[in-house]
Amino acid sequence: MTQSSVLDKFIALDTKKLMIITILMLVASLTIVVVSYSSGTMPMSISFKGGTLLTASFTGEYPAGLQSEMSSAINYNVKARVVTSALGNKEIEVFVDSPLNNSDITLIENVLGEKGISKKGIAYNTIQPSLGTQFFKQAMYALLFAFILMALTVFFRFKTAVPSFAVVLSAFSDIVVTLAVMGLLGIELSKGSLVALLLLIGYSVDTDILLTTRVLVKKKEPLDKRIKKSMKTGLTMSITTFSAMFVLYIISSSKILDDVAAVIMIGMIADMLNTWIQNVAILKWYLERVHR
Amino acid sequence: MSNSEILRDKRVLILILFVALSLSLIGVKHLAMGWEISGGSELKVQTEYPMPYILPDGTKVTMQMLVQIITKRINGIGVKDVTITPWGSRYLLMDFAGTNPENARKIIEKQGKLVVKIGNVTAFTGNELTRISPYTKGLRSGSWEVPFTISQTAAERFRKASVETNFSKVYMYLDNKLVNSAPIGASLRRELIQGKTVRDLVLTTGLTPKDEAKAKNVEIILRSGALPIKLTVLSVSSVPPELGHTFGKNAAIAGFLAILTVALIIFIRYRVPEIIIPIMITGISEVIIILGFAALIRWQLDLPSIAGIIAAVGTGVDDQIVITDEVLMEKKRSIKQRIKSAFFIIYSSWFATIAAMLPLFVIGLSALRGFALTTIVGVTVGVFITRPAYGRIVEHYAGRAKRRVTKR
Repeated sequence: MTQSSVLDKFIALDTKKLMIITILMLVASLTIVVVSYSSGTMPMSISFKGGTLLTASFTGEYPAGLQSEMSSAINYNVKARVVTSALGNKEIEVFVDSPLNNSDITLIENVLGEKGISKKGIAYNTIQPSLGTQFFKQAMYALLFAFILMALTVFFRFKTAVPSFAVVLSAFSDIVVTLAVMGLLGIELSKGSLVALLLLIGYSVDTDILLTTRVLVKKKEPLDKRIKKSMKTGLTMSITTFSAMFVLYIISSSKILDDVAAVIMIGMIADMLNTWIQNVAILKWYLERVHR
Repeated sequence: MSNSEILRDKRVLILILFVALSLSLIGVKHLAMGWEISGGSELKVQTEYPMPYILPDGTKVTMQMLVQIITKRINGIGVKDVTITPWGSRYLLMDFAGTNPENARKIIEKQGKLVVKIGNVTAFTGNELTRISPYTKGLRSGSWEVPFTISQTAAERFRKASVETNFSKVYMYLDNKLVNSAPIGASLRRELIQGKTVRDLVLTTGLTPKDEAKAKNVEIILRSGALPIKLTVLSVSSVPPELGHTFGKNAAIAGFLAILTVALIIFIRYRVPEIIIPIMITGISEVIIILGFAALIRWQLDLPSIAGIIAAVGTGVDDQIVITDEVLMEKKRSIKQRIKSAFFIIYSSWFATIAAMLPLFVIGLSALRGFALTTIVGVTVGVFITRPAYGRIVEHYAGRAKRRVTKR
């Protein structure tokens, strides 16, 4: 089966009925995000809630019993996890919910030292909760204003309400769905994932703008053909981005780049559904009802 | 049209010019790496009050002054190359090369200890300074000076010490380090000999511009010893150079492989070198121009900046796919029209990306400004420099490439 015939079959489907998928997806995601935010269970990195993070690069096996040894050394609940790269680099991350003082950090460094990780290979970061909260507030403002400015540019560019609304709705849904999936997979809201969410706004509207422009401007061709061509271009764009992020995720051993890559991958999947089902359905409806 | 003709096209020439310019900028000025990659420490410091703050004696303390005072004191403990960036009205970001942020933290969190001695007898300390005026040019003498006032008890001690030591030199110690010395002037000496306690003192440095700098320095020293604004360190980070280099190297390798993957996907989709090679060349040119810009403004590259570069190249490739498809798939319209319609899409998504990044850049969420900046610069370079050149190249090869793409 060729690529084209798959697209033909998809376009022949009733997108308006398929829209139930994206609507359910958005409603479910909104519920998850609102519940997890208000109950305080949304996973958050120490940059946004305060605490201590030690990062060390190491090779070889993950030292057994590390977590409990560190916990007993400093009388705090210490968590540890490993970020691996396909190239064989590993990064171990140690977290504590409170900002540790210098002597506690030295104690942890000593435990790591016994496992063969020298002090020269350990980076650390402590943040007071008050500063973390401040960062979180600013991150939310950045996200909110990014979204508002994006929406304004879209309305300004297309100057028609329904198609612009469809683009903005798609971007909104992409972000909410991504936030919900992040929560379900336990991906923290961090500097990396914030960056990715902002990029997602850009990537998301790219395909929607492409679709809207092609569908609204080139009226000579049949609608299905216009949609099919846009899909071919748009899917190439999304797949390219997705694969680049996939490789970044596999290769990088850095938490910030891993977060960026994971969040964009999730967002790209949400965006493919939102663009090619929901946005197509709204545009079809718009052209049938309004432009007759 | 031949291959050499395309090299003479205006838009292609502009691209080549920018790439060459960027390469030489990188060669001459070098890329500066942020502390996370080159190794170093960062402290995030909060001021007790929002700046600028008016002291009870009417002096206005600005962020600028705080930066100078902290720099002076940090340099005092042997930490050089410290960069302090004010952030909002209450925060300061301090980056430096050393990996022992603990000493720096201790220094910042306590008020500077200023001790002024005459010979080796203590005359007064920082908290006995009741007023420090900004350094000025003396009206009559024309030389640079810093007027300041000390308390009554300090003035008495000052007189006693100067008589005891037979008017030895005045030495200023900041955090137990000698930072300045000056002799007692003739007129002050006369007054002190007459038994007067003098509270209003003036430290004079001289007439030259160099003396102006010295006067400024003295003012900073005095203020660091009398600063009633408490500083609290809210965040301490440290990355050893070895680990930072590993982070940087891995990120660069990951970025490079991500770009190779893009090439592979493009190859699977188009299969013609006339399309793939220009897409890759424009993508790489974009990276070079972003780095050139970073070198030009001495921007310190960090991990988020690298993410920004990857993102900008990703958006760039998306745009090139739009141009390519528009040129190859639309048969009814002229090439010029097709490129024009591709650019409507490209400008729209450029506006949207800038709109999404601008708040982050303005709010300046500490380390993420680098990301916002590289993304904004990257997509802008893409839209105005590399994309027009790519459009021209595709237009040029369209005939050949189209025949081969549609045959399949």
